[in-house]
Amino acid sequence: MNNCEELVRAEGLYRSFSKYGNKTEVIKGIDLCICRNELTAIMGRSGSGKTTLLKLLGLIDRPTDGSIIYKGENSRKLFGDRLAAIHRNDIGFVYQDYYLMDSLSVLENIMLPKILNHEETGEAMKSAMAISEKMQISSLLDKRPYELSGGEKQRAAICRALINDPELILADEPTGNLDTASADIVMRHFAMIHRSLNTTIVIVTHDPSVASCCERVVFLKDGLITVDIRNNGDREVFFDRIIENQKNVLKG
Amino acid sequence: MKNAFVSFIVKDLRENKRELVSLIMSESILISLFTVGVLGFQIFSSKDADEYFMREDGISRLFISACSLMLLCGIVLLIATLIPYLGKRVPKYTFLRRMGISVRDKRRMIITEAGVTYLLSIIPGLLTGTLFAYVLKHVIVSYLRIDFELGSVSAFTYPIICVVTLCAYALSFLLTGELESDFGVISSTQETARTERSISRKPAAWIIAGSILCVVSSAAFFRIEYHEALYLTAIFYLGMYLAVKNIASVIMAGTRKNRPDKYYRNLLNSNQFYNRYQTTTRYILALSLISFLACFTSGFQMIGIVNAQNAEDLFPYDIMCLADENDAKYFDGLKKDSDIEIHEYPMVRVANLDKTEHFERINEITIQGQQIGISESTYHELKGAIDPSYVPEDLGLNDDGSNVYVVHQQDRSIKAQPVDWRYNKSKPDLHIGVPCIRVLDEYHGTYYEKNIAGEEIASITGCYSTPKCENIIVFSDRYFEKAQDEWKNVDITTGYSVEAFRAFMGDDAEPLLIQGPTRLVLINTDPSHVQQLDRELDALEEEHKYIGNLDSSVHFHYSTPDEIQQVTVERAARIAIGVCMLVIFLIMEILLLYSKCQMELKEKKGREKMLRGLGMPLRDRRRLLSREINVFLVLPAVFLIISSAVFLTGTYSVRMYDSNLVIRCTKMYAAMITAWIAVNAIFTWLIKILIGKEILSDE
Repeated sequence: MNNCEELVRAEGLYRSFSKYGNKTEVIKGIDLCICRNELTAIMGRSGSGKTTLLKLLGLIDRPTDGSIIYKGENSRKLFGDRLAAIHRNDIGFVYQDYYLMDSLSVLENIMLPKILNHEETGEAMKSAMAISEKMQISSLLDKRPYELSGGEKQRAAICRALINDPELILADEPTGNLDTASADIVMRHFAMIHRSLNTTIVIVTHDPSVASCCERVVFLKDGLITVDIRNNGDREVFFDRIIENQKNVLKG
Repeated sequence: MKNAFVSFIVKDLRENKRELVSLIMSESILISLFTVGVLGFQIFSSKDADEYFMREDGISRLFISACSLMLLCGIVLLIATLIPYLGKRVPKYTFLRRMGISVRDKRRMIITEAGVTYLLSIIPGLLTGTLFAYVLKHVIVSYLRIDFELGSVSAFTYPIICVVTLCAYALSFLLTGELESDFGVISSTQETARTERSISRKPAAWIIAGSILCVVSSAAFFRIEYHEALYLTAIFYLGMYLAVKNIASVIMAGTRKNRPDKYYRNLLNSNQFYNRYQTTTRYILALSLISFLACFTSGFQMIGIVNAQNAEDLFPYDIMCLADENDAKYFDGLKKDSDIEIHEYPMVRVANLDKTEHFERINEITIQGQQIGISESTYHELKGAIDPSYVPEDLGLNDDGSNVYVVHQQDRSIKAQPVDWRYNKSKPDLHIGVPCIRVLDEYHGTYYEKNIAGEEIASITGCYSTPKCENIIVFSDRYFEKAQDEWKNVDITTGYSVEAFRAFMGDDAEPLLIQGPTRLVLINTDPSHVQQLDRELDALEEEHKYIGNLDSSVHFHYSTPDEIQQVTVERAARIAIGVCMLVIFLIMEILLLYSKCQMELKEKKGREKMLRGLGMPLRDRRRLLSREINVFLVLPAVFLIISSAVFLTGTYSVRMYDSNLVIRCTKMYAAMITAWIAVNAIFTWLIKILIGKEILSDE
């Protein structure tokens, strides 16, 4: 922690939603610091606020109270073109619902961040093909997303998130719909880019084995962080600790 | 439990308030416009209601046609609104079915929903329709200075309107169901994009076919025998759709293959073309067609009326009579009255084979038209009588009567019409004499094909009866002499020549020979005399109903004051109908675009989240949405201008407008198109704001 170079920090974070006059507080005062080159997992029960927290950290959503400090800047001062540029170049988001455009081919979906950046077409295509090769979906590039299985869509969405080599990747249940082998491919790829490119990755997951690949696991319950544990080196021990804490969180 | 169920129905309806409101509005519009049509019929056609009802011409027929078209448009409008509405409601009912709702309760919900929307629409619809009708009546009466008594609205009008519009509503619902079962139009609002082929298998063939259709239909429109038929404009649009769509698809495919830079640069902007080509082009076609129907079919008719001659100028004489030999004594007596100016000219009755626009069924008797046949000398005299500066010119007529010159005596605001309506022939089939009772066999009969050596649209005796009758057919002087005795050679019952008749029926059979009118009598006198003469000539009407005279629109005499009133009221009715049609077309266009945007809302919301997450600035996302919607304003406007140029030119040609009239009409039409596009642009902008509010998320 002493060597932590802060990338994004949440201070006194609150997020509530109102519908038909009813207010629901999802995040109830979170302080969280994500350091550069950290591989972090967020775990918790359904409705604990994991996805909301991820969206807040990814500057997709705005807090009701508190602040998000991204690379030293308060997110309230980030908007318009500046914010859009951050989303295009610095942050890669993998959604739980994929959010692929059915009207574009898989290749075009993967290339989309580069297209929005007005980059050269040939280079964009090359990058898209290279990354799809690594995710083992290069045979699906001409298809449309609605022709793919859930797992294939997930991998296409991951390719799109990674194509601009962002410094922060936020993934919401990236292996949720994948079989073991595919999940393994994805996690190995995350691990590889984390190591080689020093990419900071935050993953929301229910899967302890995925969480055990990370360096740090944060447990959420009812909109608050209850436990924050780190991997001391032994993955198996870390896995056991995760299971233990998961049980404790579930028991309440 | 009952109250809980009722409150569930109420809450359920409230939850879909917005869709409910748009459905109620559509129904109100349908009811309102139908009310205007029916009230207009009652107000303007009281004189004609019985006499000319179901005739091909006349005010009542105008309103019947207009109300039918309005009902049809209203049904299309309702279907366009029902599709997105049911797109939201059907999943709800499906869910309730899975939850186990009873058939009875489901029926109660549906009937309540349908009943509530209908009841909430009927009163505003009737109120606005009535108000609109009376405002329109006031404007038209003031503009056209109608000083005679108009009709009144009967007590049964409103209940009948309620019943008819309820049936239209039910029919729309049924048709929507049919569309869903055939094309999945409702369930597709829930699905993600289907794959649509953007390039057809043989684009070259379609391009050629489309081009041919455009050329053939526009060339036909320039010919008077096609009487400015609406189906030609439909064929033109079909041709334009096929040609332009396939040309564009070839270009798009070429861009994607050969110019990837350009393709990817415009990936999102062109996405609705590459991804949803069929749907997008069909909407563009529909919107273009609606614009054209509004501006050209409805709007130009009003421009024609505004620029038409004064009604008085259509009738150079106060009374026109088609007298026979038995009337000589009566008119000789009239000549003694110094207050009455009488001009007599020799004439023959000329019958054309087919007077009706529609194709007759197998056993249906074809109603023949009746025209006035005169000699070339008489023609020059009549022209000189109304225009002292007239200089006679050779009309190119021949002694065997195969060439004729035609004067179409009609109001310039009415569509151009051929003399004979048989199979759109350029050469009319004419017979000298009163119409034969039955035309048994054209080849042995006395209806002969004539060449039209020349024609004009003018009023030299008066635009009496309908544009299909009492036109002038001019023969050469030599042939006219023979034509005057032609009646002696024709059996009226069969249409056969006397020789053919005897050969068919036997030598002992007696042919029925009827001479018909022989004298064209044109009378000018003071108004009080006109009324008196009118009464006297009315009394003689029965004697001049010849066997074979099947057409009730053809009379022995015509009185100008009556005809002026007829023309004035018809023009008023056509303006009223034109305004209604413009309004309904405008509403259809707006609602069609709005319902399309609503249908794609879910997909676009998903896209918005994704693009925002990917870092596309709000400005660019807004521009993308705006461009997607603007396509449905700009392209229909372009096609409207192109098709208007073609068909306006055709209209000017067949209606033989002079250059001053062409310029005047073109300027007005250009102003109207500009106004139409401007109004559409305003509504498109409003739709963009509404849809943008729902889709675009702030940062």
